[in-house]
Amino acid sequence: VIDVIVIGSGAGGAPFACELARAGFHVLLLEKGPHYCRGDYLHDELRMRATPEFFVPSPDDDPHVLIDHTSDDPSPRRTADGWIASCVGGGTEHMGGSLYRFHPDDFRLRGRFGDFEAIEDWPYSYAELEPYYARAEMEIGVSGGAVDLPLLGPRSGPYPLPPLRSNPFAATFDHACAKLGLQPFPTPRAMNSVPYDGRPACAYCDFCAGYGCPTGARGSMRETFIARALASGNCELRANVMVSEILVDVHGRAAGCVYYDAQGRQHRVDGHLVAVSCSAVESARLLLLSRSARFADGVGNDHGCVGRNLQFHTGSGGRGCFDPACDSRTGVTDRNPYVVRSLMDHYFLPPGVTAFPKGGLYRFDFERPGPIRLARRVALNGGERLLWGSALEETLRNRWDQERNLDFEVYHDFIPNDRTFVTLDPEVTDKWGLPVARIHVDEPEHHRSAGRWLVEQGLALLEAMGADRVHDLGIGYRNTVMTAGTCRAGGDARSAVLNEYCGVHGVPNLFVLDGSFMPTSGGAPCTLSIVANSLRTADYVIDRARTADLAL
Amino acid sequence: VAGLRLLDTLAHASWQRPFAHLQPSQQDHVLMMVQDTPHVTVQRAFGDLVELTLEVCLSAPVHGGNPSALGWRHIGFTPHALSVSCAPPALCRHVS
Repeated sequence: VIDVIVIGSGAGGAPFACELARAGFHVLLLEKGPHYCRGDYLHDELRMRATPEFFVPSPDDDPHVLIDHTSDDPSPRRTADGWIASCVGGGTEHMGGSLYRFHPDDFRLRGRFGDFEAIEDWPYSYAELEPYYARAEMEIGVSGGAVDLPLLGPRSGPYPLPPLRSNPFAATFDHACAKLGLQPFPTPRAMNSVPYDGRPACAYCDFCAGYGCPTGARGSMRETFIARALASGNCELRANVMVSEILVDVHGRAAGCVYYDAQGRQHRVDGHLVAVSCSAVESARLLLLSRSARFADGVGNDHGCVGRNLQFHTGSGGRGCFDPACDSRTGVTDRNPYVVRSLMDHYFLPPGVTAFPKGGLYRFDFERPGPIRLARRVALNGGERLLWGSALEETLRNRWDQERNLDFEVYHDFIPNDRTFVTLDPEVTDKWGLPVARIHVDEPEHHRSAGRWLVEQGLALLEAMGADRVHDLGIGYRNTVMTAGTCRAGGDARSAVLNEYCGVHGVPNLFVLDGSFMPTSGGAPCTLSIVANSLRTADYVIDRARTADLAL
Repeated sequence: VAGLRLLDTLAHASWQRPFAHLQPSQQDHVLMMVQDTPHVTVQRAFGDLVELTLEVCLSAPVHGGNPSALGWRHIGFTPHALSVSCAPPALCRHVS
């Protein structure tokens, strides 16, 4: 008999499956997408373009429906937005892997700054999550430098690996920061700076975010937690299965689930405990799809809270173009793509910038355009006469060594609001005949006003470094590869779907473990926080099972 | 395909030989004639030709258009992990 069914094998599901399996429980891990391995991941721009459904389903047979209130045309349209990755390991298979912790005040934004839109405090503090952050970093193998900065939350120990080797150009960066009174720190990355846990050190290739890692140097869920879960002998992984419903028994407890296999056959599995981790959009959808006599509007949805407060991430960015022919800037021609530098100095905004004093976190690295993308850009020749043949070859050959773009990306908060939420679509169904997720999205003006200011500061820094030209790469745009918020965790069952351990209020053996639980989703990428939270819930469940029935 | 046939037609008109048998400078001449044709469809086809050529020569070696990463080396793109990029997908081991 199966003890624990985990639906979804990404940052939320994999750590939980691993911990429960290692504790001796029989775990069944279900994943909608395929099970890739290192050999499936090529350094290849062509494949990613030719087969866009490699990571994300096609909007033809498995869409989301988007109603975008920020656009001129808010009519429903099919989109792939809101999908992160459908494969074993989820989004961690193609992540850039900048695994930051949240700031302690990310856990209490409302307490610190008061009411704004739909923000709410987390049900627990940074201090409570800290041991799990540390464990997550160790299990994944995060490389970083524990710098003593007041803006970084207190740490119980150093990173398990030293920071990645940075391009010599980082010295120029640090110098400019010092001039401006900024305090850079090494970007924590889920990439091995040295061999770790049987996996090799990073090869510093020019492909990373957006691609699978062919060497295993990046600590994806598949390379870490899932590998360990399978090695325990207590975890069975089934890929290519689409869960269509969570089953509940007559007492209103989770009893198992129904899924379709790759051949479209329906199966039922029973388990003592069910954990859902399909991404914030899809987990909400699965709860809403799971209707029964006891839960007429979907399991966990007695108060209509499932799907509310959806959050994406907000991004802004800028670029500095450095021409090494102008002077002898060390490192611009060094091919190491990583400067490995981040800034948190503008995580909180000075008064007067915007309606809410929350800024964001900067990550600086060289642009890595990939050979095809760079060649196409050079060929297009800025809209002038198309370049080809020997003229193209000549320009291209020089371009690799003569121009380098240092980019920054600011991650800032997507403020939860009443206009951004998930429901079931009344018309569109997927290839299994199930209603798809309908996403309503709206963005407070704060995203753009904060983004504008953040970009100004970033460009000023690039100019202080001596960039020949600077320009922005977007201001307060919506980044849909990180999702959170649709099953808020909190003490009050009338306003929160989950309790403080991410169990569904009123259904003690059903948990939601992806970013859905987050009342606010931070000014940094939320992946590490999802992993840490999943480990925290695993500890709680294992501890509870010592004194009571697993299904309680 | 119609665009590629146009290349042969133009090659025959000037040198009585198919495009593939011309000298590189003659091929450039033909391509220049195509690029200078003031016709939207031809212009678009020419753009596609350039783009597809880049994709063939600069994609992963495993596809065949970039054997031993010659295309990458030719334009000076030498990823640190070149050996990794060329590794065959032989280590594949699916659990389920």
